[in-house]
Amino acid sequence: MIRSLLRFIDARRLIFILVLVTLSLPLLLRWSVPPVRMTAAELLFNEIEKIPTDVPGKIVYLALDYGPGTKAESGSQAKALIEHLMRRRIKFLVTAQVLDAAPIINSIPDEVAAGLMELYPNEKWEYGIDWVNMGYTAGAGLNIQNVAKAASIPNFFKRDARGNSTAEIPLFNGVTSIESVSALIQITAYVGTLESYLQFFANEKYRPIFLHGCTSIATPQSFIYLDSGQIKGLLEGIAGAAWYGKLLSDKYPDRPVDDSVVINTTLGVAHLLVILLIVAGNFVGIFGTRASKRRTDV
Amino acid sequence: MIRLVTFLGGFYFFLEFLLPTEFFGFSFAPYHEYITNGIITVGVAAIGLGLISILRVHGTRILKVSPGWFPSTLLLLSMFAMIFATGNEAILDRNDAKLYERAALLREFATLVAKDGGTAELSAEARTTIALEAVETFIQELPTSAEPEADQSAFQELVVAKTELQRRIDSGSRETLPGVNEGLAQVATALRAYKTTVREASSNRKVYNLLYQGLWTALAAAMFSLLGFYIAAAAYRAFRVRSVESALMMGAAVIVMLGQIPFGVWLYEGLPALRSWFLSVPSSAAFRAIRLGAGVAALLMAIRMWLCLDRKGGKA
Amino acid sequence: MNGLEHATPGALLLLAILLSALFWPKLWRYHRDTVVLRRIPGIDAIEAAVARAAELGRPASFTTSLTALGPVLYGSLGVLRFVAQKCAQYRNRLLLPQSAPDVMAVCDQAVADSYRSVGRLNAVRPADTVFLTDTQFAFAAGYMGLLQRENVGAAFLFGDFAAESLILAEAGQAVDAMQVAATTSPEQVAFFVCATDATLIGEELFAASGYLGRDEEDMKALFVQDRAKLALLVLVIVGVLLETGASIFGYESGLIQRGLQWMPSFGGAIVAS
Repeated sequence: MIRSLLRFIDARRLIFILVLVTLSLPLLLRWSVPPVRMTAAELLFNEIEKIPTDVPGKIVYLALDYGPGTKAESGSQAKALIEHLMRRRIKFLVTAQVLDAAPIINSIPDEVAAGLMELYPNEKWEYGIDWVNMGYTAGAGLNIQNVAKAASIPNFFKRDARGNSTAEIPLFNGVTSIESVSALIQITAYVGTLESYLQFFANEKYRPIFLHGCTSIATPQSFIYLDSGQIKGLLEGIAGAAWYGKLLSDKYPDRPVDDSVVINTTLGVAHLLVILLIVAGNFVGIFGTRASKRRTDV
Repeated sequence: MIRLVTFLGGFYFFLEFLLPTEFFGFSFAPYHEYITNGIITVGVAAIGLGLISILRVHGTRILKVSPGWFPSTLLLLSMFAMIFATGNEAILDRNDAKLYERAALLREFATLVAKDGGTAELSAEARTTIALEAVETFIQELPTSAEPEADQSAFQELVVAKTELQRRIDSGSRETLPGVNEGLAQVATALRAYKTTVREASSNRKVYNLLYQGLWTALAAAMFSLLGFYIAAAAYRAFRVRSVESALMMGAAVIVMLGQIPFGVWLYEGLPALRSWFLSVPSSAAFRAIRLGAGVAALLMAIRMWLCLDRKGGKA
Repeated sequence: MNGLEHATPGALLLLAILLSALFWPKLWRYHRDTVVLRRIPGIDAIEAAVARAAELGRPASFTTSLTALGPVLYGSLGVLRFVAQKCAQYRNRLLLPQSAPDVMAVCDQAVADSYRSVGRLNAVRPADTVFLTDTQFAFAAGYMGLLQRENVGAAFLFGDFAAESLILAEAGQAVDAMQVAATTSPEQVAFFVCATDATLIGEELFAASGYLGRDEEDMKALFVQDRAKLALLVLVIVGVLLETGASIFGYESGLIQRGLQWMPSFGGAIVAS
């Protein structure tokens, strides 16, 4: 029994078991270590802080282009950003160019608003007043181009995702063209979706501030746009979300600890395992080669 | 013919890009939305091809009872269950929205009547009566008893709002129309709250939640999390120090990894800054070079597609 | 950069170079024999992989994953045609797992054309073109299952890839398939380098069909894109020199100031491309 089990566990399977254990333990124990400082996330935080709240007819355009697969990374980023917008009473519309995101964009603002109203029972965040969901829109770049060129964003969409006429939604009072959009925040796990916005989400006179959240895998790619100034702030995977959460907690001390810190700690442990595996791989490589050489020499 | 349509399609976008927004008084803006919506519609309609392919491949397997017929049956059943649940959700959404829209239209109507002085054919009072009757008809169409699964307090709030609106209608005159308007807004809010609880408790929503939250979200997240396992295995295999270049690559990888985890700063405080430098300088430079090369090649390929210079591409 | 830039001087220059070289290649002293194609091991591996699968009696698979209709897909089609021709000649099956219905139609046609070109149109198996789903990880799951069930001997991954890239490549590893990948998504290159036998990086994807087919149009395209890249390189160097000059002599210096005012208009070409 043990022998057959040992035969089953080759190097690949052993690595998988180690990864499973490394990921599960900190999650189960809810171990959390303060996240490392992410300067790109700080830039994003500061940009949101700069958005004026007393100018009527201004909104933030929040594009959540991710599916349930990247809920841990992109979902944590979206929650932190929405929380920040809601706390600052910045009105926003949420939309997606990825079909998978349709149920997500419907539920996430609801969840964040419910959490905030539980924390502050005397305050209210309402759909249609503080945020509105425009749903999934097909056409990717072409659709983005149309939104950017529209003389009136509410008239372009006509209805929200819940079927309400945009003319009836108080949030849109005073909102006209893209010039009413103070910032675009795009969170994605898909390749090319940010580029669609970078290319098309502007008219000839005006381009809103672009802020972005990406998965860890896409971080090197997103840094190009941060470096060139095309995006003004960036959340890099769960590490970015965790640091953003910390910045929020510093500003709002009554804020409860969010899951992103625990996930970030877990991921940190997994990174250490990967580094250990690299060392082990090299160890096996060097000594394995020497041993086989010796055997050949003999 | 295909070449001509391709050329004309491309030519439109070429001109749209090339010319300024206003060109001798001409602007693309009024037409652009129609044209792009047409393209989007054709693209979306292509999903039918996918459905046909799925039905052909898996349907054949089931009909012939070929190996794998059982998973194919499950696949088709899941597909139809998801189509049914989401389709039904969309229909219910639409029906609810129609009710809210009626309330909104009635409010608009009441506002107009309150402002309007009337004409010789139809006096202001007659208009008021029509508006009030329309509101009354709307009230009669509202739910009269609570659905058993719905939130009873939400229904009670609707009843209260309804009674209040009825009271305002009963004492209705042109002067009190703004009050009716306000009552309609209250009914609309209460109706939305009640309908939300009805929908949350509906069996269709339960099926949808089971399929989306219970299965789809969990399965998609599980697939993505496989990456963690594969990355670990790939790192074990790939980061072997065989040359100076591979040693540099491994060193950079370790610094970037340590620079973004909470434990890295325990070793050296400057690691996060070093990681940022790696990402914004050498990595960005390499990425830009790759993207620039690929961008030029893609642009050229697009021109070839547009002008049908690739004979084989033209056929495809 | 405020607002959307239409055709900037940079974009116009780039278009002029591309179009002039395409339509009037002699202006650029183009001659077919003067185009030197660098040997890329990844491209050589394509034929080796098809041959290996045929030898083992295992099918080959070709996926463009989530690539949408567009230049990257058309760039990959040249390789698909080559792989399909070889599979037809070796009487081997070619599986086409698909994620976009419109792309599926184009790929289907390309495969049929290739089989026809070697006189084996009747060997095309429509059931081997499988639409899996258009969602990222469900597609990855479907692809893994397909490779396992069919015991694929060679897998080709060409196009735009996102986080699913490593899952797809590891699926091929698990069944010991020889794999060749090509992508224009730089962040996925690292995964493909680790998990596949050969990887084509960035523009090599577009060069592959020219290298394999030696078609006149492909050769001309390679020639043209090299000239366009050279123009962009000059632009980059000028930009770097201007910025360096500005940091030494100050931004107020006449020539530098004028040059730097012009540069963003030329930079617009890069965004447009």
